[in-house]
Amino acid sequence: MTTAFKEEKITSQRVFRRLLGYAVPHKKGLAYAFIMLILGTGATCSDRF
Amino acid sequence: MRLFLDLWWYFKQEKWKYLLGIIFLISSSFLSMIPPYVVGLVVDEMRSGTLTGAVLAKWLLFLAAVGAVYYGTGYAWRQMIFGSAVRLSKLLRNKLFHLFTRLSPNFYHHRRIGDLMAHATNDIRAVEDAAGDGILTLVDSFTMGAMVIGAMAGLLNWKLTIIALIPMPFMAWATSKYGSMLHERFHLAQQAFSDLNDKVQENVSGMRVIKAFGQEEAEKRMFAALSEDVVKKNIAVAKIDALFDPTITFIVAISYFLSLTFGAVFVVHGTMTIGQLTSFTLYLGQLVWPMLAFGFLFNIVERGRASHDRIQTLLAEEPDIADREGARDEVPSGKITYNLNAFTYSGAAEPALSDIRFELEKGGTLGIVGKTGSGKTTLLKLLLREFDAHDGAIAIGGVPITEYKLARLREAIGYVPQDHFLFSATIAENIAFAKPGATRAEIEEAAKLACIHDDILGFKDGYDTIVGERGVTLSGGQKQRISIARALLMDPEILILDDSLSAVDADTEEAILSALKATRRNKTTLIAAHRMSAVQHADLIIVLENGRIVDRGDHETLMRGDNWYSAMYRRQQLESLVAKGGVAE
Amino acid sequence: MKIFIDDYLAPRRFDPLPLTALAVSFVLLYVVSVVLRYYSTILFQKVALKIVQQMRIDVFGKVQHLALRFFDRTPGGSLVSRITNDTEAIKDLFVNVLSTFLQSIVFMVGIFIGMFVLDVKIAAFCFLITPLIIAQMAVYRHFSAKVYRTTRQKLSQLNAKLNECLQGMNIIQAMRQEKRLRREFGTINQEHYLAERGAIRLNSLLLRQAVYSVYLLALIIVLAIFGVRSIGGVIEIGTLYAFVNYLDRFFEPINSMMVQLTRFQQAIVSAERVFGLLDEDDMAPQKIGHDHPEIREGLIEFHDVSFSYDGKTDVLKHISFVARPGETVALVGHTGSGKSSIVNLLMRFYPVERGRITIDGVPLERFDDKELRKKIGLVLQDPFLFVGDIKSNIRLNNEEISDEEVRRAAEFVQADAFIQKLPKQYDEPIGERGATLSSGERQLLSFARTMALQPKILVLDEATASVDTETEEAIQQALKKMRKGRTTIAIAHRLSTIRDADQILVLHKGEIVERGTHEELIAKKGLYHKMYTLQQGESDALREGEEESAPAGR
Repeated sequence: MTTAFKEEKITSQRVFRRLLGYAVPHKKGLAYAFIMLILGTGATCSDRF
Repeated sequence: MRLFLDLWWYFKQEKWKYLLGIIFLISSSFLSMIPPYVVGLVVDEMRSGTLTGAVLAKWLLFLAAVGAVYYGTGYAWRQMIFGSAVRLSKLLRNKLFHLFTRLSPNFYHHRRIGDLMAHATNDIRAVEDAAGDGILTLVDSFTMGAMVIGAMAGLLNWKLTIIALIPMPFMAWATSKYGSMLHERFHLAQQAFSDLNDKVQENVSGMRVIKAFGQEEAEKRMFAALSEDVVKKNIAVAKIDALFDPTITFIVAISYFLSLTFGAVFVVHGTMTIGQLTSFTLYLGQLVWPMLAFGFLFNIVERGRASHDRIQTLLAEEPDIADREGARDEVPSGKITYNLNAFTYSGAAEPALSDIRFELEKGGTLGIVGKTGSGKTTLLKLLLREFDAHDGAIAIGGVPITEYKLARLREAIGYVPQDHFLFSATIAENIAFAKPGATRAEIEEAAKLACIHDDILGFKDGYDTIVGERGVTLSGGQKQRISIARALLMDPEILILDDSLSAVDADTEEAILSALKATRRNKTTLIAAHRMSAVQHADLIIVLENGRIVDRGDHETLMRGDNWYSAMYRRQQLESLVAKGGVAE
Repeated sequence: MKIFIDDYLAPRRFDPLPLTALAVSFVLLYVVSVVLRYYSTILFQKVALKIVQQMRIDVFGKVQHLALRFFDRTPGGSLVSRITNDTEAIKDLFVNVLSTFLQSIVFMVGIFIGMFVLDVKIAAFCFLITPLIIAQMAVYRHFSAKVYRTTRQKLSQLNAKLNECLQGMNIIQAMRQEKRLRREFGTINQEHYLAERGAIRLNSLLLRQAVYSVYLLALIIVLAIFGVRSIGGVIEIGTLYAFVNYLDRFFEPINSMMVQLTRFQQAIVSAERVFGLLDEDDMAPQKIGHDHPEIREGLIEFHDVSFSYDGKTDVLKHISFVARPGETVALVGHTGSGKSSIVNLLMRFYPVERGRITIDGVPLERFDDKELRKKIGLVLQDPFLFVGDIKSNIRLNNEEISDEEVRRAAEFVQADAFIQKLPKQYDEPIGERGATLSSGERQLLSFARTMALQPKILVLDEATASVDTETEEAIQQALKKMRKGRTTIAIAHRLSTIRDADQILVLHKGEIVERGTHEELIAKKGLYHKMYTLQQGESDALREGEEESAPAGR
């Protein structure tokens, strides 16, 4: 791996973390969505039983 | 579907690629049918307890082989179909570019560059999608749908197939319904987004006023409101968009439910084995994609057709300036004669030029002055045949310019336009634009003549400095001088300077003009200028007003009278004095 | 379903009651699941959109407070595209990429749980393929990052070339380079084509086909395990059925995740640009100190002010002058003499670095922004109008200004006359940049805008735009009225308009070369005198031929 590529990887990780930082104030909404998603998926998956 | 007919020429041209691609695609679809069937067989053997290790191994190996072949065919059809699609877009793009280079300025007068760009990017992309994804969805939805249904009905149980298919039309209906709702809301969302865009545009260009009136906070509030609107419209889109997935899931579930319930009945009655039922439900899962593909197909083809039509209309454009039959294949030379009654731009009511008559001996210099919009540029462009005058004639060496081949005519003329356009390439490449094979020495010679050589050496990479957005920003005067060097390198018999010295200072202008005089013996020069000093040494000066020659003569004769030329000349002398800080030399 | 097949269908036991219960619970489960999933998708979208909105507001807010210097060197187009298009790409990341990833992962985890509940051993076997999938993704990401970068690069090269050629087409044609350019374009087109082919190859090698191969592998493993077990004894067919089904479902989210990977890459690039703008530190000059001085009199003093935009060449050199309350100070000089720079400094668009500017004896940098903007009224050469109506353009977003005051301001600058003639008068809508109004009318509106603030100090960058004689007169009269009782700094292009100024400063190359009243300067017979006589001659010449604006032939 070239250094340029490595560097790019590091910046993209940093950028990504900062992007996620924007999601923090919405953690409640995200959590709700997540719970619904899990419940919904759970319901779909349990059809196999 | 008419689009496929329109594109038929291309399909025919690439028929082997498409044919093979489609065959591979179909075989891929066919191969993907096999695993569920095998699973069914194995399950049944397990149930009846007849499964032996050898049989199992045989089937499993078979599956692995299917996988390998599938990988190969899948790779092949993608290469062929998508590959052909991008080749089509390449082809169309080249065609468009070829057309662009042939069309005359009259065309560019009426079209915006952004619009032409959109043809070459978005429209071509849409056609490419139709030739790639369009073909894929067409073949897939029909063959795969047919195969899956065939397998279910033929191999397994046709009654159960019909039952399982009952909910499917609802899916098609629902998705198309959602599609049209989505389209509407999406349009609104796009509108909101472009409002937002306009706001930012306005804000950035009016920044000075905003700061002067302390409007920053208010602007922020307005922006927040607009972006809130964008969010709202997008949520409206999301509400529909999010329906697709659950609806499909639900309808498929109903379908599963129906086939299991009725399948169970069949199993009990002994018309079906449990293994067959297992395969059946697996097939059912594979039916979802063809159904969806059918919906996509319409979408893609519809868009492709609109774009293709737009491209075709453009391609039907004919350049209005072309070589006439039997045109002379020689470079024109000699005396320039204008004998124009009138020239009117297409679409304009008033003629831009009328009664333009003069002669300029070979080797002479013509000066053209007059206010902005008086017709100076038009007069020069006619000589280049950027436009053709039909009422009257312009001749070089006694032969009308329309008698020459266009390329030959332009070979004789070096043109320095008003809007000095440089390409984003190195300075050397820009100067050698008309003569790509020029040596560095020739380039430097031309640059010296145009008084830009020293400036160029001052740049970081000298002649290899890149011009434009990605490189150095040149001042207006530097750009003008580079365009002059570009024209001089051609060493043309006729040189046209269309207000090309407006951004250089008086001394440089003087230096360039005298360099021209010294090197261009026996060659003709036409200079249009706002500054009288640029034309004062011309053999003939014509003064234009509203497209007519109102005065003519050389500097001395014109200065003797009390006319626009002499008034302007005196004023400009004074002006340049002020520019120098009022200190007379 | 498993229960159905194993417990009922296989042994052929059909009690109606439990069967109905089973059927009902199946449908109910689906309804619940579908509803939940619908709302969770919407919630995800909402959150994603809110996040992007926040980001947009942050960026936009940031841009509002950047220094004018920043706008001088940044092309407007690229700024706009960062605030809108780049954030739009980030929206893609949150809306599509992240929610797809989250949903897919939850889905996959759910399926795994289901498998483990069904049969721990077999599930564990299936679990072994996960690293394979992750490896596949990593490989794909690694290659696709490169391939997509070249594709994008080639595409932008292609578009740049096309755009440039369209712009310079007349040069290309005049210099007979059509063939060469066609060839060059063809080469780039071909390169772009090859890059696209590369992307197709990559996708056909590593996307669906590859995932399908892994799927088949998993299927083979499951069948093998069940097969071997069935040889040894009896197995539950329903379990096998469920397993095969799970496998099917398991691979759907994987496919959708793979497709999103390229988008992810793109969003990161955009985000980098947006953050670059957010991190920009060339801010507009800020107030210093904690008190809130007010401008009461309007006494302006420049003490030995020098200024440079680029830090190299000074555009202002040792400028000192005093404008007493109510006085008019006119700045005249050739283009580039530094007139506008004085205004830029006084408006605090740029920081005063050398020398001192005071208003009522208080250094400029100690005033609140609000106080400055309220008390100093600037009239710009280019009267920029906003989309809205007449009223909103006069009032701007200042709610303190009543309709009555708007009207009075318009009357004061004699804009009322033409506004009354408009179909909707003060509510007449104004399009982009006020294209429906004449330049004179736009100028009058911008006067009214300034006067509505009732400023103590007036800064005029006088209009040079050619306006019809009637409006011209109105403008001159308005200007005269506006200056009365206010300290005025005026940049004058038409010297005739500032003959009555209390002090005229003649600037040349950033220095004040002459100062005094009109009469004094004329008597001096210096630069001012020359400019004045020049303009007198010009206005004579202009009167001869007023109709200049025939369509310019390109």
